[in-house]
Amino acid sequence: MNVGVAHSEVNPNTRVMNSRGMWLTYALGVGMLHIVLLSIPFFSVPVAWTLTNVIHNLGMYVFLHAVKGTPFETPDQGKARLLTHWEQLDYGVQCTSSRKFFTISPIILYFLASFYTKYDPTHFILNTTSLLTVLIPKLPQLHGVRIFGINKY
Amino acid sequence: VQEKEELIEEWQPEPLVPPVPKDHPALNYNVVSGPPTHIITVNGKECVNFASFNFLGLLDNEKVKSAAQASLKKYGVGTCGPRGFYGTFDVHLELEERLAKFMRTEEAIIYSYGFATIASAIPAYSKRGDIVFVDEAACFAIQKGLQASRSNIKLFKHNDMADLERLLKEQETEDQKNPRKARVTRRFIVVEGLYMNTGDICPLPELIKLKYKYKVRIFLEESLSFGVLGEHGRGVTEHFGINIDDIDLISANMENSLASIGGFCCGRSFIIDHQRLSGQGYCFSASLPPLLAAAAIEALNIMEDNPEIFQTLRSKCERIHKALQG
Repeated sequence: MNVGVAHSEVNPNTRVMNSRGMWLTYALGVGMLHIVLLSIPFFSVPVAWTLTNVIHNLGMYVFLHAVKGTPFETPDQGKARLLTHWEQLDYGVQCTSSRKFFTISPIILYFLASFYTKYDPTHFILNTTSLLTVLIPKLPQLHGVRIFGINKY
Repeated sequence: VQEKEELIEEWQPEPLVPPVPKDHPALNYNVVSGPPTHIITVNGKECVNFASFNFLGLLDNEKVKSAAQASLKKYGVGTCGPRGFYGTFDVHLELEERLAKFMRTEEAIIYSYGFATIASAIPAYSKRGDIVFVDEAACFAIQKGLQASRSNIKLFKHNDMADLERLLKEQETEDQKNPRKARVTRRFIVVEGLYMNTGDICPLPELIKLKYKYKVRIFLEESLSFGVLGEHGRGVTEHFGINIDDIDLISANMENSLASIGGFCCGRSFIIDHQRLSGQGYCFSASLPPLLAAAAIEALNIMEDNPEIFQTLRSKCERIHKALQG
């Protein structure tokens, strides 16, 4: 389905990331965030890159792995009420193109951030932990897993 | 192989339709001539009609019929659309307003098919993972609504408040074991005012007490009790003298006392408004034909102008009940 078009998709959350222009918008959005951070005169280039990486990963964690269910009513009587957006993507089919894209994009951001921070130890620790928080929930083995019952209901 | 061929040649299939004598009772129908009101003419004989839900006799009322015919001349027959797509007529809005005022609630919503009213109202609020406590003798429409809602159904014995309290207590202990799950689970009780399957009235005061004790929402299905119980015909809440705000949703059929077709739900605006987008029978079915809405409005007028008909109905019912008991 394409966003803004009449469709018969039961749960639009599953297909929204495949819609036309989503990936480009997402990439441009990350670019905008980075430009805004670079424009602030107090941040040096390494700090701006680390901040971009951390804020991007924080946003990705919250929207894809923390918030559950749908913001709209679905005709399937709430089948996805306890699932995060990542688990809802493509109805739970693993390793589709959207999932691959959103797995690779934080890794690319991590490479860029590591380069521009000149592999400084503090920045390295921050960027790596941030990357891990956003990569580990995406593993197929962790589909539907709630560690210590956090965020289960 | 030769034997197989012979067997196949010999075999005579049984007739699809067995031979039936010409005077089989199923072939001779009883023919009804004339309108089926409280007197029905079967095979030329005039009989008292005990087979309809036309409690107040408004099906045959001249005022109701003329209102329907005037509406037919004005609007035609059907609405040719659901409520959201050019199917909302002024008579629908007027009927909703009149019903809300009559039942003394904030808002009412009209469905075009009585069965679909409660069958759409329940799944609009109760989803997967929610719990519904339902009487065993609930009518078929409620059962279909519960099936569509995909919720966990807990049946309690008919009109047995002790059984219901036992189920509620069990649910409470489970909730205490898992409070985070309990916080996202919605709980409902679905009861009928006057049960279609058994003819009993539900013990509403005890239900209200249980509602506030265990924090459950009540959906009351008043198809048979609307226009029958209560001093002014407002149903089982008026019958028991209960504040209408204690009931979260009242759903009723207009096909019984109100001598129309369709159904309505009434309650607080906050609750009823949700059904305007989530009530499947409201959004995805054509709206009520205007002539039936006009007939319902006229029937409501008659009910409001003559509140003594309810007492007459009840005294007649008691008379027949006593006479039938012998």
